[in-house]
Amino acid sequence: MLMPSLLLRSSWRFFTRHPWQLWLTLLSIALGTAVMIAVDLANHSAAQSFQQSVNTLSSPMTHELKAVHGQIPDEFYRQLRVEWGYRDSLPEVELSLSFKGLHYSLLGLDPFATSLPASSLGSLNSGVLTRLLTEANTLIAPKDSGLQVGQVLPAGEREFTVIGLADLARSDLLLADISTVQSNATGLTRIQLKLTEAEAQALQARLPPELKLESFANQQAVFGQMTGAFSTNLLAMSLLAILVGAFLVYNTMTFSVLQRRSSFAVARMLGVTAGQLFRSLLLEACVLGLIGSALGVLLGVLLGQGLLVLVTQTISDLYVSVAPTDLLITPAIALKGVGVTLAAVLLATLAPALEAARVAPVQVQRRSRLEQTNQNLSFKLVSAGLVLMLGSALLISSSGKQLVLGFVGLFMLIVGYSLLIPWVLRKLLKLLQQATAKLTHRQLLSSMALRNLEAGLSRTSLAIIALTVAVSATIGVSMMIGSFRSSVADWLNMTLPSDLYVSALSEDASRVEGSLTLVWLDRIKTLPEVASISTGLSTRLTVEGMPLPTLVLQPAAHSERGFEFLQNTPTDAWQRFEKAEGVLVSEPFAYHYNRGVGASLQLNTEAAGVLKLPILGVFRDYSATQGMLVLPRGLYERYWQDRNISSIGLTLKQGVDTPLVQQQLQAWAKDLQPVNQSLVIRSNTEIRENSLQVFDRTFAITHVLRVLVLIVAFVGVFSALMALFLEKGREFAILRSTGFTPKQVQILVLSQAALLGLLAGLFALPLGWLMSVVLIDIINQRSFGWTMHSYFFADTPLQALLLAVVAALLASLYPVRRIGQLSIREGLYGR
Amino acid sequence: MVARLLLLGLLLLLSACEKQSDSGSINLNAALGGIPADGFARAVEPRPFTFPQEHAAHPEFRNEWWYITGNLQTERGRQFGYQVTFFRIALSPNSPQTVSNWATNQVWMAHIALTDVEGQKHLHDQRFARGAAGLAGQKIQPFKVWLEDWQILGQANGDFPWTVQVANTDFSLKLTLQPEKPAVLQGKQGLSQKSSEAGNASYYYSFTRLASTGSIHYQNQDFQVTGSSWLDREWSTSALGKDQAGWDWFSLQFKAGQELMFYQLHKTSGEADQAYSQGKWIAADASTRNLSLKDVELQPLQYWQATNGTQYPIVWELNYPAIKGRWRVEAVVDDQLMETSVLYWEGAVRVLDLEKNQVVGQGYLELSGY
Repeated sequence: MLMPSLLLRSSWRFFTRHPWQLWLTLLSIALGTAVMIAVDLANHSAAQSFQQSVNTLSSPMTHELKAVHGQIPDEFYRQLRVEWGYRDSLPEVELSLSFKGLHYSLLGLDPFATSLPASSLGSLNSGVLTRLLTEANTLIAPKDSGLQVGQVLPAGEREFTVIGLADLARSDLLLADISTVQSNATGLTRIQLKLTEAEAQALQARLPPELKLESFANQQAVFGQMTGAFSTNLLAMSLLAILVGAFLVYNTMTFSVLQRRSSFAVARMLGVTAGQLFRSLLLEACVLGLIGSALGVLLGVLLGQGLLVLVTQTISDLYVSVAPTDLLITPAIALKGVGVTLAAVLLATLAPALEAARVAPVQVQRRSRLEQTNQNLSFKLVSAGLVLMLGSALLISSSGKQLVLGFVGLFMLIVGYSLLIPWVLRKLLKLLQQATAKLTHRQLLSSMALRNLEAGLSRTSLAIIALTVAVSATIGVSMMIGSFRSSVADWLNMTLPSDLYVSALSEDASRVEGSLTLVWLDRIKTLPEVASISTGLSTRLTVEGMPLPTLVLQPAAHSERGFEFLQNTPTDAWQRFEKAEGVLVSEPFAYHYNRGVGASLQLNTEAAGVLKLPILGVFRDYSATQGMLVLPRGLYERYWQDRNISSIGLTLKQGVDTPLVQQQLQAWAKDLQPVNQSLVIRSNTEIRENSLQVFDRTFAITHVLRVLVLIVAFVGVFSALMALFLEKGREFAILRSTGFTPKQVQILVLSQAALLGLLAGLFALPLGWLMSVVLIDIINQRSFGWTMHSYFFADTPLQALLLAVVAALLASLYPVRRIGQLSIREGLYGR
Repeated sequence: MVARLLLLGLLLLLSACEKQSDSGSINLNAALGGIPADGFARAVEPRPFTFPQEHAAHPEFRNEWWYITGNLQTERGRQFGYQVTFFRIALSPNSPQTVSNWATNQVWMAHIALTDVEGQKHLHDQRFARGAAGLAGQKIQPFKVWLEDWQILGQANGDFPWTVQVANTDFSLKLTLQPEKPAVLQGKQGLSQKSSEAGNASYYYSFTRLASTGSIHYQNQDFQVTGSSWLDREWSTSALGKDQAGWDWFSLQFKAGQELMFYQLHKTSGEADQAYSQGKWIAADASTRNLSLKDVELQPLQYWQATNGTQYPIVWELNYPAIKGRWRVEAVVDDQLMETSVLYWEGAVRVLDLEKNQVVGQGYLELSGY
């Protein structure tokens, strides 16, 4: 065991003598792990947060009763509990309110209804419950909300006073007595129940049609389905960070092997076997990987805090309203992060370790051998790269709707492309040398820069690859988001044909799902400025056994303009829809359910059981990832009793002042709408702007992840340049002693860095474009079911080139300074 | 009946320090505590009692209850004891400020229990509800006191016979109650003084002998039963003395047609409260006699130990020298502990004549503050 301990000491000495190398390696490993852990954490916590939002009090409740529209009558609760005997039931009235820019959900419940969990309310002081019940407008706030006892929260015309603090499941949850929240209104937002499956079925059977029962487990499952694609996308972005990190580890390990070749040779001559050398290098990588990923876990938790806000925001915008909660780092998440990182690090070390172990003692010392190997290797790599890219194309085209396989294909494409780079780089540098030789008549500095770069390819090519991958990701993602945004803007223009919309909102104001009083229709009809009216009812119908968002549409004369028909929708589709002959489905629905024009779908109706309806057309839609259904009002009224509407679209006559009509509607809103039903009156421009804002917010997280990947790459470039230039200290010293000024040496180094950045930027362009194609046409459709137009943005490649050059230049600043400070003597004789 | 007032007082004011029996859920009593007496009516002087109106709630007072206990048996002689109690608790003397269906200043609590003498089992349950949204409340015409589906139903004019109907997953009970004696006004013409301070008193009447018939569903069997029940009605606002720790309360019905009610208060120091321990002897002809600790002698004979180590005196010697009565009062089942939000022992007892060693009566015993 003497030898391994000797090897261990030798690697310890190596890293303590090159601390910056150690730190940069650890940093890149840590960053890769951190990004992955942070994304994992944010995804996990968002799901947790959803669970808490459906089961607010973390009570043992299992089901939730809601009204299809509006509220559950108070009397129904009495019937349910007293007459039908469902005693594990909790009535709730919910109100949303904002205070100092924060949103709260005020939950009114009956504290006597069920055994409330002690964790939430058990800590209340004696008498608080009495005050909640007897004093008007009193509530309890969570301990971690920052709210104080005695604080007054305004909500419209009412004011609520905090009279107690408790440990509540969510920091945005306020609790009050049910009568406080209900105030002068009637009706319940929901009833939570604890039911067995059999009890749930029995209850379902006797429920009136205007009420619906849903299990939390089912809601959780639907949430998982809805957000699954989103989580996968985030995870893929985080794996990209790991991939870039792995390139860096490979780079570092290769370089450290290079640097230590003489000590390895000595060790081999002393009798260390190849296997021992190999194992000690893997062990070294393992230790680096462990320390790096442990740091990464800590960093990931910090990073996760920020990401969670973005993730929950996106989920709230896209799917359902969830509130950010505390991050919950589980051993599983931490282990997964460490495990993936370790695997990547070991894999990346495998090649250099084998390299070091395979050669004979004498050979190790010969440097040319290694560069030779590299050159031979680059041929093998090109062929492997081509095979991988081909495989990627095959995998993507043959994997149907599999999102994960789509990502695997994308990763194969990236790795395959990366493998081509060393060979292309070598050829390109040769060409460049010839070109510069002709053009500049052998100007010393430029040809030196090129030759230097070429000579050090074994170190720099990896840095170039890392930078290439990071920059190409930026290009690909930018192009995808840009195209997506333009497509959404086009779609919004198309889909909002009316000038003004009156819409009733859901309780959390996130969706148009409330109901308008029918007086609205009568009033609006009297307005002389209005040319035509359409009405919509947003609801959820059971389609193919699953709840699906549905728009019940009574179109106006202009409504056809609201749909961009796709997939061979026949020209008479709209006429047939107006005659109530069938339904329209959104593109995501057609994709997920594999149903196109001419197919039919099954709907559970109130009046006629299961109904089979033909699909008349497929339209473009970006509003619901799980798909949506548009049903003609005539058809709906035939099979359902519900006569509510949730929105009215007004088309105004030519030359009418829209804001003026809007003001008139707003004035009516004051006396027409019940207090607990919020409503908005917006022009189509406002909705469009608002929607694009939501869109931008949705992609905020993608931007952040992109920057994180770039940072990892930046660390790589920095570390590679440091290695390259510091190793060449002796070379630079010779240059200095032959008459080069420090400035000239620095310019030499800077121009090499710029060239390195430029090359990476250029390599990134085709890869970025390829990535954008895969993201737009494959990943997006598989994730969300929709297609989009590809747009080309001329500034994206330019920005990418600039980004690559600037990153490389920035990374060279420190080494350049060091070179400037280095004395000739120091450089020649070593430190 | 001081006993029950103490029970409720403890429930509302002191139980914050009680051990939670139903651990893991909110301590309603603690959270409901501290209702000030200000603004509520007080029992200061005797008042006329008119029936059936008095059966209705008196919401101007803070606390009130309808307290029924009884002993029943089947034709074959199988014996059961039962308790059905509705408590009304006003949280505030003021009416609520919103018109919400759920708005109320009244909270209701109910305790039920069944004692199976043959099986030596005691089952009990409790419920809370707000006095709103039709969940709990009280009406006089027709008479009704209810908490969800537990209820006492009377006649259209508010009078007897009453039907008591309660059920949970373990048992159900449906009984019709018809008085065999008129109402007994406890204390001084129905004013029952609790401690020296004026207003620290309650209005209190009892129906000491109610003929009871009906059915019990228990262990998948239906039992037709008859027997005798006892109703206590009491309403008050006042708080009790701080030095009073608990009580031993007896309500006994003798086969010869008399009844005896007596409660012995014990102070925190452990000694009996000489001044305010009291009771009433109701003769077969319904004439009554007031009792104090000078008139009766009480001696615990045997204790039962609860799982938490507390010792409850469940067998007593009770002497009433004025009529040469010497009785042994013993629990029909040892464990009749009410593990509700407040821990107390309330159970069916039989009365034996110490001289002849025969059963001469039955009743209920309540032990609190142990």
